[in-house]
Amino acid sequence: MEIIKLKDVNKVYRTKEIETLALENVNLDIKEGEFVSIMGPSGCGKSTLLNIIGLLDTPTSGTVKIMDKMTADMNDSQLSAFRNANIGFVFQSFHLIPSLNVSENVALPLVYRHGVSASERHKLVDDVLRRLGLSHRMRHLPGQLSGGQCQRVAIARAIVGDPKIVLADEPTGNLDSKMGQEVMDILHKLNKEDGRTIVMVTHNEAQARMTDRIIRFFDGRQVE
Amino acid sequence: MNYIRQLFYDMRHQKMMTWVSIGGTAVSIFLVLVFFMYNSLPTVEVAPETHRQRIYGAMKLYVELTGEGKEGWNASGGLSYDAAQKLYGDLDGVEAISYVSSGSGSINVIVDGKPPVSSIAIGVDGNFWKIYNFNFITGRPFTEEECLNTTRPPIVLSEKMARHLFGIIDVVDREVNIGGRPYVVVGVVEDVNPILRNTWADVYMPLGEEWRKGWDNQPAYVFLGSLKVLLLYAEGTDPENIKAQVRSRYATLNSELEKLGGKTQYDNSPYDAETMGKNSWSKSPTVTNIAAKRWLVYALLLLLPAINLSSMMRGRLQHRISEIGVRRAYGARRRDIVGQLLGENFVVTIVGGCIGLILSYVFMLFFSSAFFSMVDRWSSLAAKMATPTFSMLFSWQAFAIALGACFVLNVLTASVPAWRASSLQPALAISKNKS
Ligand SMILES: Nc1ncnc2c1ncn2[C@@H]1O[C@H](COP(=O)(O)OP(=O)(O)OP(=O)(O)O)[C@@H](O)[C@H]1O
Ligand SMILES: [Mg+2]
Repeated sequence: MEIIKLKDVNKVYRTKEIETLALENVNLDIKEGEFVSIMGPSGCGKSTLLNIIGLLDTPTSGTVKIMDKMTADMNDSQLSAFRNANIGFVFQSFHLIPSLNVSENVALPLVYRHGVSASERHKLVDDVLRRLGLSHRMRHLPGQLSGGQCQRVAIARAIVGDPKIVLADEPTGNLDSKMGQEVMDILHKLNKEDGRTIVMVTHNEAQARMTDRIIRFFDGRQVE
Repeated sequence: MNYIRQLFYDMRHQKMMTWVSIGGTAVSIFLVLVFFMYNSLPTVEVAPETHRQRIYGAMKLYVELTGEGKEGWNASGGLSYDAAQKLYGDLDGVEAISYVSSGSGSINVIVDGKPPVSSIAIGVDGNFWKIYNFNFITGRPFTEEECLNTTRPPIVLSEKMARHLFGIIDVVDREVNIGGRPYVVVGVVEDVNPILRNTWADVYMPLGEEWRKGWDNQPAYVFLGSLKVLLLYAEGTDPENIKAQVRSRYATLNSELEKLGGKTQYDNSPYDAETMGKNSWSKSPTVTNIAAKRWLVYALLLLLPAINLSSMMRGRLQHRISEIGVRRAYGARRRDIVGQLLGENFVVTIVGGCIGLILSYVFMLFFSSAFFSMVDRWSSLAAKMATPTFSMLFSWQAFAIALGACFVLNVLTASVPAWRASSLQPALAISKNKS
């Protein structure tokens, strides 16, 4: 069963001088529970694709169906609620909020979710931090953590709301190979143990080969 | 809670911009409050002027000659006792009426052949002591009958003047000499702050016959004199109702004036405490729309800083665009972001507002007299000496104004930058800068 369905998706960026065709006629089906990696040279549109799947950006044309929902019809607050419930994001440069401590950063998706009490929130945050081995860092600020720890916090944030889909844009891009491996192990666990669908952009062949499927892009087009 | 933490975070990481924002807010609130307090002084109720909201005044009359060869002749001045009574005596809804000299003057007071002491004097009738709450340290006020006593008229001194003249305060029954006539002291009152213009004086003289008569240079000028009228309205009286009565009194006066070769115009009196001090002696006094002008000043005092603070806010947000994008990614709606940013900025505004509030009190209590004499041409003599007391300035309205101004300033400052930041496509926002 397809959880993500892209049909004839085009994305054009228009600036004053130039038009960039970032995605050209992309058709993509990703099944529930799949771990997919996306590869391709820099500037070929990988991040653009991930943003469109994550409903952070809209395609210029084509349709995006996530969990059988036509996303084009949703308004701002419906999109926000949908992202909140179903999608977790992991970024290359972590994007933790610097003024919030670890547990507050992790709690973020629950803060924006309707009907989660403070005590439920604390319990969910505690559970996920324990699972990722970060319990003793709860009160630290992001600035006081190593890169690997930051990315683990970001992953905790991505899954605390129990989304079906996790989107990771070069999650190991800013990490050394040891910390990168740790993060990969965690992502595989989320896929195998929890059954989450994971779409990951990576430049690392070895990492990609460990996933269920590799989708290759070149100049906005899917080549494989 | 998180809003306050964000402020501390900004103070550490964006010191300059945060402090400039707080400082700019403080200046704006300071100006608003000084303006408010300055404007509230004419109506603030402190002893002896404890019923200021109910005391109205009429201080002038305009007369124009109509006789042949007198075209263009006119005069305006205080009222004669006769005119004052005709226009303002026995009005429905007025609890008490007092006739007093229309201005204050400088006189020389002599005690026991010592050198004369220059002092500020006003002439007041017996009712004056009933509409105001003077605190008599010793003695008593004088009565209306005593005012007309020509042999040994009574007089009331301020505490300061009694001490200056005699070296002591308990000087009841002692004699002073003013203009070659002996007066007997019947009471000594606590000093009045010069800001209270209707009651401030060193010497309170009885309103004798010479104050009460009219001009004699033209028959039609007989209603002009040197008095003003103070009216204490009964509780719940509609000022418009009083004005209607006075307007018809004017019509009657006009028919009398016609026979004497003159006419007058109703001048919209009596005036409330606010307007009383502001009226000029011009021919057709317009009670200008003070409130409208005032709102304009408030609007400018808030709007001008808001423009600057708004660009400060935009600057502070630049550093947080990616944070906003991340929040959006994790389910924050646009209005959640706007609400958060307004809330955070409100903390900045409140901190600035508190600083401005404190500064405005410091300024008004310690530095305002120089400022008053600059802005206040009407009564510069009193103004130079006037320093408001804390009890005159301390009011819940000042706090309400400060809080209200903070709200307005916050919305003016933050809403546009916040809305813009929240409207950015999340994907674009996230990629804007690294946090
Ligand atoms: N906001 C934007 N405005 C204009 N052009 C953009 C914008 N975002 C991306 N692009 C362009 O779209 C193309 C695809 O960008 P994208 O970020 O998706 O590439 P990528 O495959 O993720 O590259 P990298 O591996 O370097 O992250 C690039 O040519 C890029 O310059
Ligand atoms: Mg990219």
